[in-house]
Order: sequence, then structure tokens, then C-alpha cells
Amino acid sequence: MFFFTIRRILASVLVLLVSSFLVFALCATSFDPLSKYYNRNPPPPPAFFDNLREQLGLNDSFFVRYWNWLSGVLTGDFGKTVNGTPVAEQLGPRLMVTGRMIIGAVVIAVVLAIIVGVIGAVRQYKPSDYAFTFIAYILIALPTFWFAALLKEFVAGGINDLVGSQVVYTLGEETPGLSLYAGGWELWQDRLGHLVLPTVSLALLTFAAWSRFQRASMLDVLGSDYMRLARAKGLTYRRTVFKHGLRNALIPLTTVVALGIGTLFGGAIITEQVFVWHGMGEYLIQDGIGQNDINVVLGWLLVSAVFVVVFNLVADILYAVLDPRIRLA
Amino acid sequence: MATTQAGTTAGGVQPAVPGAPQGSGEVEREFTVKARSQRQQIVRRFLHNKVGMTGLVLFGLLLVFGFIGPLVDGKSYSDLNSSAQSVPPGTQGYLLGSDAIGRDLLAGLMSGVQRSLFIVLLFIVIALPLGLLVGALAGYFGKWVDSVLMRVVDLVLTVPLLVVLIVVASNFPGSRTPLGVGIILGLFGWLDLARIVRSQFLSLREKEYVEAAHSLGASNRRIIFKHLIPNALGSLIVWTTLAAATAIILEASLTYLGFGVNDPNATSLGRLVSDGVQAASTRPWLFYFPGILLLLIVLSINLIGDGIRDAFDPSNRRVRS
Repeated sequence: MFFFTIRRILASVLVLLVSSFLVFALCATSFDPLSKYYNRNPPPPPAFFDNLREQLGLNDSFFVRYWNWLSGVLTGDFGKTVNGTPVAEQLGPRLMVTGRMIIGAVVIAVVLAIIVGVIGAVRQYKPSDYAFTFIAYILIALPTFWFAALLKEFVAGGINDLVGSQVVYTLGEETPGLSLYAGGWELWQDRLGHLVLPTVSLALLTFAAWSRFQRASMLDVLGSDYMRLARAKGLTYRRTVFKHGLRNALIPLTTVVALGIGTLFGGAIITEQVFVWHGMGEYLIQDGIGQNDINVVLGWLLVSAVFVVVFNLVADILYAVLDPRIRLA
Repeated sequence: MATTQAGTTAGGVQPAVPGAPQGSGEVEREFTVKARSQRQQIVRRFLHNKVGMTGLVLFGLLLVFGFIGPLVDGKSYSDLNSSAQSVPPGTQGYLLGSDAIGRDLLAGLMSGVQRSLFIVLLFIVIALPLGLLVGALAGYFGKWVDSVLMRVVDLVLTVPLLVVLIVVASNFPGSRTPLGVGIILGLFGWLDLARIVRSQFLSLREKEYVEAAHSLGASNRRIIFKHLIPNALGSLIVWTTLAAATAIILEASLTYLGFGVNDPNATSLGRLVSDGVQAASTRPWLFYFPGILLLLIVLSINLIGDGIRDAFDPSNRRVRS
């Protein structure tokens, strides 16, 4: 397993290297960070443009620029944004924001998916199974931003009306500037209020697909011979389902969840956009693509790719741990 | 005279025997057994599948809405009516209301369905052959062909779709049409199919009939096209339906983020849905009707996909990939 891990990491580093070059090439052909100054009236003096070009290194040839970026990354320097802030400093807070949004959502989604999936399989073709299946199908067919808008309209409005004051917020991660003067419980409460809707939205939409997955694998396990054997030995139904069935039925879900978390750390792009959270997804879209900023896009690429690679690896290793029949080679 | 029906129960699936006489009416028996080819069995199972048929009927209705509806309705989405801006449904002859510049929402939805299905069709026409080819070559030949192709897949997976869209859009200004978006989705949507086909081929190429074909002198091309692809057909069809549903949602999401269809001459369903989100509380009809229509299309395609999956694999597996 040790050599497996080492080999996978090496292969991933190689893929990442080529990928960063590819993305750099793509961005270099079309990104012009100076474009926002072209339409200024009166136009800025030519010396300003020359200065900025020199400062951003746009006069160097393409390969020199890539080499400068790459050698910087190897020493932990991700370069600066077009506005002069180091990219490495911005990535941390962005990751924290995205992490806050997805961790709760993933936990809720996994727990719900397991419960609903198991119930659906054990009581297959009963009304409860049909009801959950129907809900899952609807959720899977909804675009994230539409569902989130629906939540904003009804759930947020409904809860706030019920309580009589604003406890659920629809925009942002916290009331602007609150962390500058408030702390402790007040800040926590405020952040929690901002967290509810994005978490619910993300959790329900990921839960839907995962619950179908869990149901299918549970059905597979319930029909297997060792379950019949366990019953024949005289174990209670409950014990066979939970002790023998559930543990085996969790294996496929583990992979799916691990892969899902890896991707989500690159930003739940749309959820962040709808609820105006300044996480990784928004960083790519607004600070990176929106500002024509190569360093930001590449910084995003590296960080999100590392999460994908790491969680892919976690999925493979967990798979082998949960199912001893699988050997990593 | 009782008729047993082969293939209606999960246990009663009979392997198709090539060259077996169709029907056995000449032989005197107490009951007749009707031989059905594998294809007939699959079609039969699908027709008996409630979920799949519900999806098919729903999808058919939506096709009628999108393609025959405009002929009946006779209005055009590009007609601006300055005297009927943001009118609610049912007033001034606007059955589903109008938007802020006086365009008929019903006509918009109809042409939106057309455009979205056009995007999906384009996506599949490009992605299906690409994914099939790459997956088949990698899975069949293995070794270095497999390693190289799969690393290419890994590589393309790391490139963010949004960056590609931006780069293409800035170099080709005309690409923000349904045509352009469909092509880009197709060029990036074949990666998971390649992996599915590869894993199928890895196991299929070890089967005895492949060995038999080899020893009879069949070429690699013949084995791939005549023996392996027909055997992987089930997962190909299932992938196609599920990917079609995903493509519709993806188009809507890209449009919402500002990277999708932006063409004054052609609206897409995604365009209508993402525009409608801004109007959720002020003009709810612009929010609900496009969203629900999108939901129905994706739902119907997913239901068809599940029906096909069950028809190909009658055991109770319904894994969502």
C-alpha cells in the first residue's frame, strides 16, 4: 500500500505539471489583465501601461513566464494577483470559507443518504421507498441555482416570519464587518444563521444522488448468499441487516463520497455564487477569470487539484480497508 | 392453450440462440414457446417498465410541446411588445405571461425546448463517438495505449471547463450560441464514457468468444465493432440518457454563471431559467414555468434511462453513476 500511494502521488504530480502548463497556455492566449484600463476616459498615459506590463512580466516570452511561475511555486510562492496581493495569502481564507460550507453539508448528506438508502432497500417497493425515490428524482433533476433560489424565497422567508426576526440570512458568510468588532457567541450565531441555507441546499442536492447509490448497493447486499447464511445461523433480522449488510453496503458509497468531497473543495461554484460566499469557486470565477488573472487561476487549479488527488487516494485506500478482498498493487 | 412468455420474469431470461427457428408452430405441443431474440426481450421489458414508460410518455409530450406547439401557437419569442411588458399569465392573450421587454414566455419556452434539445443532440453526437473510441482503444489494446489514453483523460479532467469556455469565447466571439455551447460540452463530456467503456472492454476482451473470433482470423477492427461494442451497448445507451440529462442542467448552470448561451437570436431553456431566478419574488411566473419545464425534461430523460437500465439488466440493480 505504501508503494501504491507513492506511485499514485508521483503520477498525480506529473499530470498536474502538464495540466498547469496547458491551463497556462490557454489563459495566456486570451487573458489580458490590462483590458479593464483600455476603456478609461481619459485614457491612462502609455507609460502606465508599459510599467504595468513590465511589473506583471507580460513582456517576457511565454515559456519564460511559465518558468518564472513554476519556479516560484516550488518555493511556495504562487505569484501575485494583478492587483499586487500574493495569491498564497488569499487561498487560505478562501479554503476556510468553502470548507465551512461543505463540511456540514457533506456530513448531513452522508447520514441522510445512508438512512434513506437503507430504508428504501429494506422496504423496497413500499410507500416509503416510492416517496423517497420520487423526492430523489426531483432533486436530481433540479439545477442548483434554481433550487437555491426557491429556498431563499420560501424557507428563509417562512422561518424569519415565524420567529419574527431575521435568524436565517440569504446572502454572505456573515453580516459584513461583524467579525471586526464582535466575537464569541454573537459572531457564532450570526455565522450559523448565514450557514443554514447554503448547507441545506448543498446537502439536499448531494444527498439525492448518494441515496440512490446507497439503496442500490444495499439491495445488492441483501440478495447475497452470506446474508441468507447469517439468517440461517439464527441471527435476528435486525442484526443481519446492520452488522453484516450495512457494513458491506457502505463500501461503494465511500468511494463516491470521497470523490465528491475532493471536487467540492474546488468550490461549490454555483452554491457560492447564489449565496454570495467568497469561497474557492468565486475566487476562480471573479478574481481569476473575471480579472484575467493567470496566477489566480493557476493557484486555484493547484489547490483544488491537490484535494481531488488526495481524496481519490483516500477513496482507494478506504476501499481496500473496508473490503479485504481488494488488494492495492 | 397456455402461452409461456420468455423473459417476463427475472429468472426466465433465455440466451438468444442465433439461427434458432423463429417460433415453433410446426411442432405439435400442449403449449407453444415463442422464441424471442435478446433485442426483442429488452424492448419488451422496457415496454413493461412503468418508470421507463412514464418517462417516455412525458418526453413525448414535451417534444410535442416544443416542436408542434409553436405551429399551433403561432407567436414568436423575438416579437417585442412595448405595451405588454411583464404582464402576468392569462392577461392580454399571454397564456404564461411576458417578460420585462414584452416577449411571450410561452413562445420562449417552446423555442427553449428546441434549442436545449439541439444542444443535447450536438453534445451526444460529439461525445459518444469520442468516448467510445478512446475507451475502446484503451480497453482493448491495453498496455501503453491504455496508459497514454487514460493519462490524457486525467489531464482533460483537470482543466476547468469554465476556463476553456472563456478562452474559446474570447477567441471566437460567435461561440456563445447553442451551436458553440453544444460543441464545447461535447468536446469535454466524453471523459466518463471513456472510462466506462474501457472498464467494460477490459473484461469483455477476455471472453471466450473473443478468443474464438481471434482464432478464426477476425481482425481487431471486426472484433471491436462486431463483438465488443454490441455487448457494451447497454451501458452506452444508459450513459447517453443520463449524460443528456446532465448536459441540460450543465447548460443552465453555465448560463447562470454567465458563460453559457448568450445569443439575441436564440434563447435556450437554461437562459430562461437563469433569467427567471432574478425575478423570483417580483414576477414569479418567469421563475416557476421555465424551472418546472426544465425539471420535467431532465426528469423524463432520467426515467427513460432507468427504464433502459432495468431492461438491459433485469436484476434489481439501479446504480446511479
